Amino acid sequence: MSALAPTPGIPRHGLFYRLTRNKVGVAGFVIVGLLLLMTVLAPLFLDSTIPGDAQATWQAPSADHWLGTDNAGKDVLHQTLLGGGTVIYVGLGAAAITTLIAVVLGSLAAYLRGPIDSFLLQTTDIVMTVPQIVLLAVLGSFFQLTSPTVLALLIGCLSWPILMRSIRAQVLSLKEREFVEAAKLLDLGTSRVVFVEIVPNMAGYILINFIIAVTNAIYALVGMYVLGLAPLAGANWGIMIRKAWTYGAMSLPEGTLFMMAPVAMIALLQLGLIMLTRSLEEVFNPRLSEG
Amino acid sequence: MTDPKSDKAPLMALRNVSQVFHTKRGDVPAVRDVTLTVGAGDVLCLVGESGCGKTTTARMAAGLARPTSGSVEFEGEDVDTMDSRRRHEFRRAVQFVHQDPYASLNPIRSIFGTLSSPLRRHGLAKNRAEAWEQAKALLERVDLTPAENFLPKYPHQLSGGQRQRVAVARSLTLNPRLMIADEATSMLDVSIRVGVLRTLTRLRTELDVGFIFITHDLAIARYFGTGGKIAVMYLGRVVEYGDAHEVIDNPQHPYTKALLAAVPDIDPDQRHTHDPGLRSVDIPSLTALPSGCSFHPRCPLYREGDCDTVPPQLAEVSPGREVSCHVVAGDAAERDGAAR
Amino acid sequence: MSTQEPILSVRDLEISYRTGAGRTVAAVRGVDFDLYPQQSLALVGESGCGKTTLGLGLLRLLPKLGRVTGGEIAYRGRDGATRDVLAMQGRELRQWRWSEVAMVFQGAMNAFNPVLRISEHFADTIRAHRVDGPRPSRKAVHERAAAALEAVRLEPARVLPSYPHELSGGMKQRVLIALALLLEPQILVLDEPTTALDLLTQRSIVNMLHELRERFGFAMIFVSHDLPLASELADRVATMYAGRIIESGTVHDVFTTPRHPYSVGLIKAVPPVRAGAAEPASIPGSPPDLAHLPQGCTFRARCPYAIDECAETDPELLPVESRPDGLVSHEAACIRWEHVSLHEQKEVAGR
Repeated sequence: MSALAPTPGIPRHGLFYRLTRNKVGVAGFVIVGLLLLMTVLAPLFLDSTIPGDAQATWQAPSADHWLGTDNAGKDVLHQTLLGGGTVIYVGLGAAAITTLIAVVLGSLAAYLRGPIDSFLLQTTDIVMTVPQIVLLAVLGSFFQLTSPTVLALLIGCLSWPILMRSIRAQVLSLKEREFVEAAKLLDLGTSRVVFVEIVPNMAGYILINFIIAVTNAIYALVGMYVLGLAPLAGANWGIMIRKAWTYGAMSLPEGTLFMMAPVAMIALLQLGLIMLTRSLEEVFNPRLSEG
Repeated sequence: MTDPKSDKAPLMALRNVSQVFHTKRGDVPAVRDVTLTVGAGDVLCLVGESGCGKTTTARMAAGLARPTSGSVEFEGEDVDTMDSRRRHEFRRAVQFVHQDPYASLNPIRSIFGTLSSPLRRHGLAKNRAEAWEQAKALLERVDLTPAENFLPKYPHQLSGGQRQRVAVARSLTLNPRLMIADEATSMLDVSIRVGVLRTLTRLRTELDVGFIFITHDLAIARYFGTGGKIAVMYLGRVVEYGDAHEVIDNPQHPYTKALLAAVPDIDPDQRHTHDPGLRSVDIPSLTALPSGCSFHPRCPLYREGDCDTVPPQLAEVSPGREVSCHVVAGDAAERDGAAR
Repeated sequence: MSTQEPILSVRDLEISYRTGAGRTVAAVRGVDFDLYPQQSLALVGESGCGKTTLGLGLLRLLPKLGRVTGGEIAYRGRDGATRDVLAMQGRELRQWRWSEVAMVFQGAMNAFNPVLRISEHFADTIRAHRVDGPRPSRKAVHERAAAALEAVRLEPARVLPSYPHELSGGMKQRVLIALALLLEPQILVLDEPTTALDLLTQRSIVNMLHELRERFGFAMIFVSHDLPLASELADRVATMYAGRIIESGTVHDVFTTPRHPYSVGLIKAVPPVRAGAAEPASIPGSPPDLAHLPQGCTFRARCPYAIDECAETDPELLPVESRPDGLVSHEAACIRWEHVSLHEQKEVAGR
């Protein structure tokens, strides 16, 4: 189609233009941005120990406690504002580990094929068949899961196989492209061909999957708290939900906000992340941006 | 087909190479018993229709595919038995230019990035400044000037012809001795094709680079093959071989004749009858090759006897011309007999 | 070519593409031509010159981002009534396509639905475009399909029950032509119909198209970048550059005595297969960016004949040789056409 191919002379739109042309995506950026800002700023202004007041448990919202208090008389708003840190840290950390493992193993498996590929594929089979929650329960009884870094490592190391397989599939098709053959002909070496020539071509795909991995890791973390697989040290959204549940906040009209506030924050964060991938798709998938 | 005059081994020699692909529908003999050589600064054009094995032959020569049987020799040494050091030398000395300049350049790397990585990797440029200078010189060699303007650009900012020139420049980074070009100009616009071919010809004459040039276009083969050889392939075999202009101007094999008769002519006054005279239009499948000469079901010269039973071998029918056809070879032998 | 009325009249046609951010780029500008019955017109030019867009635009088959932004297309039916193609809508447009004007697309491989047998493609075409009356019977469909396939020298018994992937490229291209001719259109538009085909297959398609044209008497518009092929298939040629027709005439006019420097350049760029022909030469530079067309003649920057005056106006098609109605006149959009010649250039190049 001679005339339909994009003419080289027509300038491509700037990154900012394409990032901002999807309204849903922009809203996602705003939501995630505000939540991140809140998590960073809250510890600077609020007392992170959150003093409890045994006299004032299960308080309804008031001028002193905008969202009321919990079973220990701690301010719900304070807990909510401060409780994002661990969740977001573990989410990002676990997603980074997952993505890193998936990209490295997936691209090498696809590029090298042979025994390495079969070995890695079998490993993914094993990791995928073991129920994560059970494994976490077992590991939880061996290790102290108080450290967010350990939690991130654990979740990250268990959730890479699916992404690894899809990265592998992408590389299998990318490595047939002629520019990869050209790089091989120039004797550039395996690691260069894989990580400099091939992988950057999937940058968009990897970034979007990273965001999805963040949302999955957050769900896994909250799930661990709710099931009591991780110790309830400190205050974060997951621990709040667990406490609200254990102390029967649902049955108390004053406890509704204690339950709902962390749930709403998690939902908002997840929604923001998913929405923001729409803008990323717009940037990385040129076919969408034509419409 | 070795040149008896030179004692030195040719730059590249394919000796009785065959390639069989094993597929679900059975074995596909893509290339059968092909022997060809190219010397430094020489050109060999492989022509034929799709499925004739020209691309597979070229990929074997480039080391991108391993022949099922036969050997690929580089400067007299079998590529298969080379030690690791010689193999790397071979890898760098033989470069390949792909057909599609839109697919052969990495879309996310700038032209400088594309050209500098082989230079840096193999120590030809010690630092970025050196790489920049060398990349500039390479672009100038392929007539992309002013080179500084092109270096920071990305493939999508270039036209097809410019991209193909970049691809040629990239294949020149490691000072190759042999370039294999697979339909390197067929996706380019008519108006710039000749320009790219000229650039390639200059590499041949100025840098003494040998060429294996694959094309389906007989006019391009005649033009680029000037001073070199043409091998016409049909269903995995070479059916005619000789000096480029000779083969096109005076074809001997009935298949070459049919191809040339089918070439459209731009000048309405020059139009001759365009009947290739084939007995059948359909190309036989590679999985069910005809017995004897593969061309016999379509051949206008078909005679009862050898044609459908004995596969013909390439034989010299006149000095420097080899044809694989019982009828043509028979006629030539008769002529020789009569002359004596 | 008699003094008949044209079947297709195109006046001042402009087709634009949206390129995002509310901008548009005119891919076809100010195209005028008349197509007379049984003529074969070749639109030639390089990628991006607008030839494919024009071909699609004539049938109102433009992709989503393209739109006819000006001009007229008038079609004269078999009944002698003239219809405005740009005003047709929905069902009328669908029926007009295929039964009056049919198209054979580039790339025979992708034009078929891979899960439908060839017979189903024929049935779909017949049913989708039937004008009125009852749904044609299975038997009637089969008979018409068989006749159409025989016309392109294919065996209906073998081809009809096949799936597209079971046919070779050349066979698929012939099936496409049979499908296009199924409803006996007056005009057949072919976009690079033999580009992906081998030389011998291409030859058989070319020979077959000549036969079919003689037998069915349709007019043909043939879009191609391959000048020798265009020369064989067409009896008149229009060269396009940067969205406009810059030279038009008979095959003889354009290919043996071209009067536009771009036509000359294109012809000279094709390496000849014949011995003793002139040395080929490429055209310097590259086509202008359609979004930022230069002032004056768009070919000026690449033109060996350019003079200062060329920077002032983008010339209209000027008459080189006028012929009476119904015959094709030779026209070139170059103010220096009198100085332009294929042979003069040859001498210059030879020196």
